[in-house]
Amino acid sequence: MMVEYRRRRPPLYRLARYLRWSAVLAAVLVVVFLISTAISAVDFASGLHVSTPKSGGYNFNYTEATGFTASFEANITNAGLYPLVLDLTTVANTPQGPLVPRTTTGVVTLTPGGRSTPIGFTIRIPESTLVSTEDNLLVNNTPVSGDVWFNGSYAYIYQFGFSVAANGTWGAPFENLSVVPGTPTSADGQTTIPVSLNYTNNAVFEVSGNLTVQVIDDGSNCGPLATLPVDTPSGHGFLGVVNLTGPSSCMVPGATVSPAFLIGPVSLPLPSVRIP
Amino acid sequence: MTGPPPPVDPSPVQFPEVWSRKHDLPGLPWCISKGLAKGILLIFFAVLLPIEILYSTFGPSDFLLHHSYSEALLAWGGSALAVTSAGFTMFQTTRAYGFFRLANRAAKLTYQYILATLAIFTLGPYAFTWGGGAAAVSAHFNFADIFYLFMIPTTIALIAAFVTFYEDVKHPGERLPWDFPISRRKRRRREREMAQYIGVPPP
Repeated sequence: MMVEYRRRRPPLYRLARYLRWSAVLAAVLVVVFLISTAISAVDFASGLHVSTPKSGGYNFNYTEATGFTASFEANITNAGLYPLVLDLTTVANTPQGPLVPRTTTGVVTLTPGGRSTPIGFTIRIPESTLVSTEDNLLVNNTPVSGDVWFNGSYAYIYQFGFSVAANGTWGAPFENLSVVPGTPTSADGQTTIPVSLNYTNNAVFEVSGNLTVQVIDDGSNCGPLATLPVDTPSGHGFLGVVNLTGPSSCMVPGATVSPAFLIGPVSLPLPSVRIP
Repeated sequence: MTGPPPPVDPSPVQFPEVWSRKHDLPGLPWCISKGLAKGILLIFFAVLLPIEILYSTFGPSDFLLHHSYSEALLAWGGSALAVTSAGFTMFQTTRAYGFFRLANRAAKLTYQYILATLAIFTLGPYAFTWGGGAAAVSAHFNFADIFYLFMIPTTIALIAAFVTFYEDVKHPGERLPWDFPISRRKRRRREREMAQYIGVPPP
């Protein structure tokens, strides 16, 4: 009798065997891919390089058209093997309404292979919001609730997110602005009123520009414009005195001393006081 | 016509039954021991270790890390894998093997899908105060795609298990000669015994 040791395997057995080997091969490929993503993540972390312009990447600006603008720009290097996709969004509200409308960077893809990708983010606060009649944000530390979050994905398969929800006060650049008209002195039909200005810069940026003071009587400018240059770093206070000299008919008790902050051609009105 | 009776045919040579076997099946005690060992190992790696990592290392007392994997899920899922895996090892020599293999792959696929739907770790919220107010920071990490990727080979393995199940139902024992081939040492010994039995020099 013959014992068949080397028969051809039955078709079903062969099919199951091929499928099992395919499954093993697929599992090995998945493991190799996952290991490569881990190695890539280490490369990304060790080769991460964020370069910013000389200004530090931050830039604060104010124009009549755009209002207050804060922007950040940087170049990020991805030394890994796989792309990193980011999407940064922020929004801020005050009790009176939105301070910073929902702003997003859009989807930014940090291309792999050591290439550098620029990333920029700009938030804008319109002038109408900044100096609204209900709450002048230039002088009041209005409560602000803000959210910043970013979502990202790495190597196509890992999704992550990070969010910061903050409640605090808006850092007013002219917090507690005090405009105090002094005792007027008259000579030759002209009256001079010393006006002292006092505030604390609670903003994160430096206040640099000119403070202007003018007397308004019956709704119209009746006195000359006095200008006081200011350059107050963040967190510092300011105390200055400016003399307003004008016709005695104008500088009368009850008239309004109206200060403003001048940045370039833009004049931001600050709360006014009456001459006692 | 008379004469000597015709020669009687000699009785056919009767070989021992073991020589006609085409496979070398292990004994049931061996299969059960192997299956039990496999089941215990899987209970350790698929049940105890994940629970230890998720509930002791990052335990529920750690308020910063949150995950959706309950102890019950890990225990039931891991146990299902361990039991079915031990089952197909124990019954590898029987036609129940295909069924247990199919059950194991189906359980694995289901378990991977459930793990994928819950695969999100949340960190925080971590609250703190600063000069002008308070803030809360939180982060999340979603790794569901890892499980979805692993579901690809598991699906292929599930199809393979179904083929084996069908083969065990339709052609019981068909796979045994290849799953449990006779070792070369045993085959040589058998050939020597056969040659000695029929009186010819061994090959």
